[in-house]
Amino acid sequence: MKLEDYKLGGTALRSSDIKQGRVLSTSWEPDLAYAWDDGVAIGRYLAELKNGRIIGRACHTCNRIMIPPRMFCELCFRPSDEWVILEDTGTVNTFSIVHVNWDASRRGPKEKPLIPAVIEIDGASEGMGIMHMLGGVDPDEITIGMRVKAVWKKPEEREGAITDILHFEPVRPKATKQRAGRKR
Amino acid sequence: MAYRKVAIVGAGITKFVRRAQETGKELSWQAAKMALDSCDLSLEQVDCVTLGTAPDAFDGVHMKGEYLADGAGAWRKPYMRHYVGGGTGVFSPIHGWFHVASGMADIVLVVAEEKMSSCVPHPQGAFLTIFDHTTEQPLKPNLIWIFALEMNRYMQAYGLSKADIALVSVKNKKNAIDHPAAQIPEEITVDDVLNSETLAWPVNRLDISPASDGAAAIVLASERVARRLTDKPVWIDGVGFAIDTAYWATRDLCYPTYVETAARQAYEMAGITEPSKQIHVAEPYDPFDYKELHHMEGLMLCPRGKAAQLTADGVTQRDGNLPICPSGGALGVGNPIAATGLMKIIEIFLQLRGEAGKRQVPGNPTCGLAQAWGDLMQMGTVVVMRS
Amino acid sequence: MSLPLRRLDCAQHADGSVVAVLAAEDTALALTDIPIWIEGLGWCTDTPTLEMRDWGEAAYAALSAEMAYRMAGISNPAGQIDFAEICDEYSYKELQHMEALKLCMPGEAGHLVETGVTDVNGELPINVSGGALGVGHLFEASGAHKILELVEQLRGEAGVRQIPDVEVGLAQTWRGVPTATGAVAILSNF
Repeated sequence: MKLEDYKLGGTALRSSDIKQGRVLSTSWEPDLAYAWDDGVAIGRYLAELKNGRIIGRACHTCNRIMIPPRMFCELCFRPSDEWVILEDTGTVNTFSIVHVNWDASRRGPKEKPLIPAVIEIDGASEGMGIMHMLGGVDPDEITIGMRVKAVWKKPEEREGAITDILHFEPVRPKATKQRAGRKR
Repeated sequence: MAYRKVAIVGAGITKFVRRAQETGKELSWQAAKMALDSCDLSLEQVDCVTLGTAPDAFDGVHMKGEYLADGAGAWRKPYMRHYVGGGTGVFSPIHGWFHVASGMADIVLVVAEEKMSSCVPHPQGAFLTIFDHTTEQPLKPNLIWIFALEMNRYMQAYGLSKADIALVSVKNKKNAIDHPAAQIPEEITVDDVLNSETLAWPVNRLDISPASDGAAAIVLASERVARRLTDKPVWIDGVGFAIDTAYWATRDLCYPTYVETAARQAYEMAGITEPSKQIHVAEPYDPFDYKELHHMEGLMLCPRGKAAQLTADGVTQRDGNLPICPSGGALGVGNPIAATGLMKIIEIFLQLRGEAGKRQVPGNPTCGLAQAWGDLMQMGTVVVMRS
Repeated sequence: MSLPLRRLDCAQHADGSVVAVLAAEDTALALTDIPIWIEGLGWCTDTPTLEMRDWGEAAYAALSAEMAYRMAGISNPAGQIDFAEICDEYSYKELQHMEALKLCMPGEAGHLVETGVTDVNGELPINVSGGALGVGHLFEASGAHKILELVEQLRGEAGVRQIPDVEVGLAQTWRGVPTATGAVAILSNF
């Protein structure tokens, strides 16, 4: 059987077909609301974020410290063993410079690009990363391997959400004090 | 292992288009009917039906498998829906294979359907829910982010440039010119890809396969029945499927371990010990150009980091030593999520029968492979076929 | 709720999880003294189009059962099935399903319930677990809950719910609104 010998189904439409009423369609905007349970592990993760801390969970059998924390280790399939407070610094594993919004609309010319990244968090096992945003940095300066630190919302503004961290920004090496070019 | 031999004996496919007038039910009917006609079967003779289609949120149709059932030929038949993201189209034959290999059924109709156009203004919005609802969705991610993050990591790990990777898009869109169902076949250049709109660096518009509407179907048969239905059965000799953790930021994105795991299962079943030599033609999943390279390496068709060089050397062209995506792939034919993998299965089916028309790779290939990938960067599905 | 259905005719939703471990014969015999065998399986999808259905009958249940009975070699369901866990997401569904499964004659199901035949010490105990109406409706996990009940009964581990001397049990599920899809499993302990 050759595909070429068959008349294939599927009739292509153009958006003008619909706009100009040659083809009818109906539409629906669902109104869905969800209240998700955060679970035992993530519940604590969020509570600590409100405190300005990042917490992980250790599995002694696999010798790893996991973030996001999990009450079970998915590798050895045992309950995990203990909570571990991690640093709020890390290393950029990968990143992207994004010009589209979540719904595919384009970011306007005055809007800065979004910079999502995978950040390996210090204190967790190697390669343990979370997705978050980078900020306070020129996109051209970002490199894989760059060291970054969390920028937190003010304590009174935190809700117990991943957005209690505004973004991660580069850890700049401490500058030696330099006078601003005034001649003495 | 005690299981029966299973063959693909027929196939059907609709055009892949950005927006089809047909409903998903009608698209399923078109592909399923063509598959039955291609091997002279009537619906009464089908024992079981299995259908792959993406989550209900895509089309806004609750229990979509039920809605599509009659279009897929499942009226009053044993019928199941399955879904593993983009991996679905290659999982579909595996799911059908279980029915026949176990002895429960002699003839199974396998259908895969997708109608992405219903989600307006763009199906990307429906993908928001693929991310963890607590730790990721509040950041308002777009699906393209995770591809961009993975592509950047892959480029960094192996020192590749965007131009190296763009060659895949050029090859596949050109291959698609010869595919009757193709959505956006065209001859483009590497510069066209590099100059196309940057959506999420390093991803440009021409690095991405299009969203599509389309359906595909195949007929599986047990050995005894297959030999009566056709003199060119194509045997499913190896199947493999594996899923990795949904904590995708916990893994090194430069290598798809789950694809290797699935490939090893399929190779062991099929008696493949040197994939790069024993696989004559392959259709790995290419929703983005870099994924073809990523998957070639996961399938162990070449060493890690070397797939781009093979592409540059012309090895993966139709007349090369290891033709990859002779169909035109998702990049050229289109990417109706659940159905794309089945389009690739159908391509290998036709290639191994010498019936791929202008797309035919020379040299009488007798062993081919299709692979797909999906969910949250985690699922690998592999099928090895022989004529 | 929607006449003639009243609130207590409708099962309430529940969250839950049930896991079953399956094994091939040799492995099963090595792992346990009381393997519970899957004797028959059937599943079926009737038309999704509401207008095409016979509303009074559950064709999906009848066809699933036929497939399962064929596989299990059961020709006289009412006589050969000792007990059953069948879908009672709405109270009338239990009766409708009993008849579709040929556990009684058409129209007879209500009479069997009224006369105690389907009680735990009756001739054909049905939904001794409490079913969806009693335990809660677990949606996609509801079938697994029925299987769990069959296994516990067939292993003699059902405690206060134990039905004496059971050998063959049947589980049946309906996929729920808006579907006409269902499945049947027949398990035995010999």
